[in-house]
Amino acid sequence: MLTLDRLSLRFDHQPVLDLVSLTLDEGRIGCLIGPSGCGKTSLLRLIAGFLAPDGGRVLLDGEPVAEAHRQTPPEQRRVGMVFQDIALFPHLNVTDNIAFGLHRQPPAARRARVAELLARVGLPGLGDRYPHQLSGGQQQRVALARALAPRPRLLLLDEPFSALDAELREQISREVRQILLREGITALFVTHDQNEAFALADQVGVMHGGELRQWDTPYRVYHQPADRTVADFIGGGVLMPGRVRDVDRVDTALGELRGPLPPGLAPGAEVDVLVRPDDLVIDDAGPRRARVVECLFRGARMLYTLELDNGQRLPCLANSHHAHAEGTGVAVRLDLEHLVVFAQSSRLTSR
Amino acid sequence: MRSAAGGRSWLLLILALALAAPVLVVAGSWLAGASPNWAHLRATVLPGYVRLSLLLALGTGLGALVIGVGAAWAVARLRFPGRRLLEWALLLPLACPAYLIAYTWTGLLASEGALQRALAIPLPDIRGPAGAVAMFTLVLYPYVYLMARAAFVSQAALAQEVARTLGAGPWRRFFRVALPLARPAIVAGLALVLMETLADYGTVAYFGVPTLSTGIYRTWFGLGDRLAAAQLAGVLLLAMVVLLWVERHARQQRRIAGGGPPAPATPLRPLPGLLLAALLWLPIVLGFLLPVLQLALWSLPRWRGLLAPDFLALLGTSLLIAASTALAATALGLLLIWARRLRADRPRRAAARLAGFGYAVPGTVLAVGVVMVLAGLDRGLNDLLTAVGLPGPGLLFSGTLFAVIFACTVRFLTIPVQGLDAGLQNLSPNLDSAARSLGARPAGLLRRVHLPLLRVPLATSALLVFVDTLKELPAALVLRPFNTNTLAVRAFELASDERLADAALPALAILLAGVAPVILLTRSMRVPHAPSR
Repeated sequence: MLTLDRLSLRFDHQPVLDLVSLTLDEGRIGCLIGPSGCGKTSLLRLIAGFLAPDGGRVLLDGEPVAEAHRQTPPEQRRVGMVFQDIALFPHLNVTDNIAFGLHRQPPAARRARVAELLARVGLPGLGDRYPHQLSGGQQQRVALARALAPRPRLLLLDEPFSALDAELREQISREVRQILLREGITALFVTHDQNEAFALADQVGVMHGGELRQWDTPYRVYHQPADRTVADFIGGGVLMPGRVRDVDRVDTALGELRGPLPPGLAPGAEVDVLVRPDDLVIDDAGPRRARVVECLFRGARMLYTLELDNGQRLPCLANSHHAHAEGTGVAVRLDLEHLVVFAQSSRLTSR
Repeated sequence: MRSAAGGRSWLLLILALALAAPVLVVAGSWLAGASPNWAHLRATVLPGYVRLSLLLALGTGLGALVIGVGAAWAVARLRFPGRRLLEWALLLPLACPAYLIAYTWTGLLASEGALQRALAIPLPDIRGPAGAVAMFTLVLYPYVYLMARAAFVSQAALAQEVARTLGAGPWRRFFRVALPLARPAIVAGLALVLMETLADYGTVAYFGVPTLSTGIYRTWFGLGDRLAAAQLAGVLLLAMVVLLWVERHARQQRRIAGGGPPAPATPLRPLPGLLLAALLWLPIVLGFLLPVLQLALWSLPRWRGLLAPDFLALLGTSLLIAASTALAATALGLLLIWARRLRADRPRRAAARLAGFGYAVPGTVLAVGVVMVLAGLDRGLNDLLTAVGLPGPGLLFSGTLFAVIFACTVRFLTIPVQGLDAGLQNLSPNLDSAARSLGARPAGLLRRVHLPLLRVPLATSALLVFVDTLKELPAALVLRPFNTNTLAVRAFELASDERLADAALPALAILLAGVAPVILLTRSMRVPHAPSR
């Protein structure tokens, strides 16, 4: 459906996007995440046609809409977009906002489509309101309906929930996923919130410094990060030093860990092992002792920072029924399903 | 696609250059080398022109600062009887062109005038540099007042409270906190005052004060040396460019001081409150109410003149010029600003910037440039037509109302340019992106999104240009065709012939039209100041 082929973009000779390639299949929801300034919004604007690439191609249904020196203007791409600042037309009411992209259709068809969308986004009867008379969540839904109205081939959403407060954000993002699935539309999001990305997307892309570091399922991005940057950015884990013993064993402060290692690591090589907060379990029968340095109450869960004897600090997400005061000692064991190892002083590793 | 848009960019730049041509011609007049009369001018009148222009600017600047800043501080920070009324009434003198109140005050103070009889004491003759400074101060202080008031109102209480906790008394707080915070706004207002002072022709010509502005006129029509006039105009233009730069720079420096609610007004005790109110009414009485009253008294016995054919012709010409200019300037401003919104490449940005330049050009300077450009155009056209054996059309451009409309369009283009620029900047660029991604082409974007959302700035700009054109004296005086007059020119001519009372009817018409933009300004003052990000 959507194919990006080695896209590059520069602003004033500064690279903004560097050889970005990805494929998003029909009806799937993709999500790009990354820190601000990583180029994710530029990538969306490039797909929509508001920016022209300096190299590479954008293909929709196999048809190139952007390549060197040939751009299809945005109004002819049939790519819908939902904006960070919502950007409803302030002079038009909800009905006219949604009908904006339908002005070439006969009035009856237009009315029917607007009514259908108002019902789908859960705002029937609000067609006569003006944007300033709506709450933030309602505005967001109208913006979504407006973008969906002309049945675009692809829907782009640029941090669509960042203007909403935290509680509303979760609710709306769940609703949006349902709406998108029911419309059967291919969609690509941008966000800097990984929970949002995991909740919404079938495919997640992690961007950093204009490069797409990994384009994969949420599960694999979390458990099998492609490189240190992805591991660092996703999931709040830490990298713990270790030493390779042989082809599938690593010695660490938490004992010997087994699992597949990246190729080319000789025994004795210094490596980093990824430890997620949910990999570490407080267990009285555990083989290692640790001291509680800090605990953060999070309702159902408690986020501990534990310190091993050698000074290594690790995060630990535990059931909040077991309260351990700061300064007390606990026994822990590592419950690692995927061993993720990166060679030290190297950014490039594989699974 | 790309190259077509790029080609249009260059067309826009050429259009902007054509509109700036009169200014460029004046600036370029120095390239031809000094005029033969230049040495003579420099040895005789030029030092005097410069000295008096500077003197007027200095005096007016000082007067406008004292009245403008003082009044702004009082209405923004003190509570006293009639404050809300004063808040906007202090803008009223802005409606009076300086030349009109100059001649009204001359009549008021004349030995047979109303004041003289009522007071029975000898009154000073205001026809001189000091009188000119007084007139300019009375009508121009609102620029400082307007900017300073906005700055004082937007200053958060926090800055004042912090100063108090550090032990600063009211005077120290004013001079060390409030004033420095408002300084960029005050400087921007002051630059506008100085530009208007230097641009004035009517007042100084009527008072017989030889300044650069009247010097240009005299050199041209008295000495008959167009090149020397253009070069004198170039000197004045240079001063204007400096002031324009100061004004732009100061505007950029403007900052909202801190967040939080604005400082509350301090209530005054009844007696000081009443005294302050009386003091603040003084500039309004002197700069607006008294002149209007005098003009009305002069007009009353002559009200039949309203229906006289010559007055109607005058009115018709003035309205035609003002309406055409308003239409042309607004349309051109929209074209240039909107084109830059669509695609902000280098030529389009340059075109929009060039278009904002005309306001810095005094009417006399502009008139010189317009004549040079249009006369050249007419000559070229006539030569061309006679060369191919057709009869020449005569002075198609320079000898018709077109010249006046063109000059006023160039001079006031900056009003729609700035108004629409601000209006468009208030609209999220994502509105454009949304419309485009929903299938709207550029023309559809303009028609369906931008025009409806810009209705207010479009109407406001058109009205402001309309009124400013109605008031414009020097450009109309020089450029009008034979046997054609505008209200402003007629009022000035009658006043210059000492027929003060006869000038009252056109003068009153101009003055009342001038109240419209003041009302617009007061409405914008009412809008609560949103905290800016």
